[in-house]
Amino acid sequence: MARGDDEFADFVRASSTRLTHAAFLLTGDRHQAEDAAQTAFTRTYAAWSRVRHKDAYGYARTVLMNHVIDGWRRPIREYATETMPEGPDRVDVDKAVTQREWLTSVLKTLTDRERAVVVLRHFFDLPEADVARELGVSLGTVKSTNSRALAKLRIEADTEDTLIGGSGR
Amino acid sequence: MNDLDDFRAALRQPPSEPFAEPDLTRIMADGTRIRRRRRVLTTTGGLAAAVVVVLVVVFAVQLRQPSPAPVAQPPAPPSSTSSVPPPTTDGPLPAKPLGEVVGTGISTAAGEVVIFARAVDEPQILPDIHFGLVAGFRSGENLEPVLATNEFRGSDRSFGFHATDGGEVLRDQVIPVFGYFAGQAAKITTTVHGKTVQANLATWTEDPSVVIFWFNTTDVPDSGSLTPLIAYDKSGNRLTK
Repeated sequence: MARGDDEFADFVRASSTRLTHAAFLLTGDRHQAEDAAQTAFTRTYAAWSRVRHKDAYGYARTVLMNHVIDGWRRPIREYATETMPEGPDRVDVDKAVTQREWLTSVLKTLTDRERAVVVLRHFFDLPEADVARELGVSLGTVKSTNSRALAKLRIEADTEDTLIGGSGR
Repeated sequence: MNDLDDFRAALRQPPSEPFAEPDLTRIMADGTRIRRRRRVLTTTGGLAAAVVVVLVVVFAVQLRQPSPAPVAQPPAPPSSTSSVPPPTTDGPLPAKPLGEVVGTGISTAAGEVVIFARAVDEPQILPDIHFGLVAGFRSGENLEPVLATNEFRGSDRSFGFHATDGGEVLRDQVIPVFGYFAGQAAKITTTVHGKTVQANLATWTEDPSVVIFWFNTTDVPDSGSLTPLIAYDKSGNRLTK
């Protein structure tokens, strides 16, 4: 094994669950998620000498997001609607299974961009400014997209700016 | 706990069954294959000097031997530099530029970033690859190659994009993402973080059906942020998927 490979193997072991999980939230499909993570790690390995001492995790996350977003641009995709979905008024979080099923179903009601914002903001815990940078959109767009997504999900978010991330400027 | 906390908790809830572990062996094999596409030239001044020497010698040889009547020739005849003693360096060397050197207009402390084609002559490994690209710096008469890349699958002139590389810091300077398109592309774009950006284009003087492209470093900071490239013809019709 070449120099740095052990380090890379440790990196994959440490971050694969989280990155694959994020890909699953973005795609809603286990196999697509695992393939996306595999691709992200492959490209990260190709650039390992450059990124190993920087933010390797951030690099892998960016590659993953780009890969998934690129997949959305391909012809086979689902088009979400701006119409508010029919769904439960309250989140049932009593049971994990119910929660998972709920999550899977509600994420499908979001547009691609909304899903990307939600995952970066609420799964990766990125500040809104970083989400904007990652997606190449304005801070205002992130704020409005996030609000719209949470509204679709019937989530009360009025306290979010003061509680999370410290970036609700 | 409010709804947002519930939602965040739901997002982070582990899946019902664990995801498959990434295939580390395959990751490294595929990653290595990507790495092989690029060959970063490690020598600096000596290499630049060696290339200048090669250019001078080749030019002198051509002056002594009048070129024959024009006939169709392969783009990178293996014998084109065979009379020239190979420069003494351990690093991989780009041959003399094939066609004109393309200036990108990007100025760095090491000179203007330029892109040029070079011959590839590896018939055993790459039988249908006869040229690749080199990015480097041009300062006055000096040409300093920095990053050489080439197609490594199939033919170097099969329709489509080839040898896309760059987007990294080498010799303390940012080398832009560059590559070439085999076909009559009039516009090449990619999308970076949701924004469509357009490449700069230059037709390769050795073969006008090949278009060399590069992106401004501010638009495309690294190759990792690229999404697939799209080529359009002069009528604006999309040439690639």
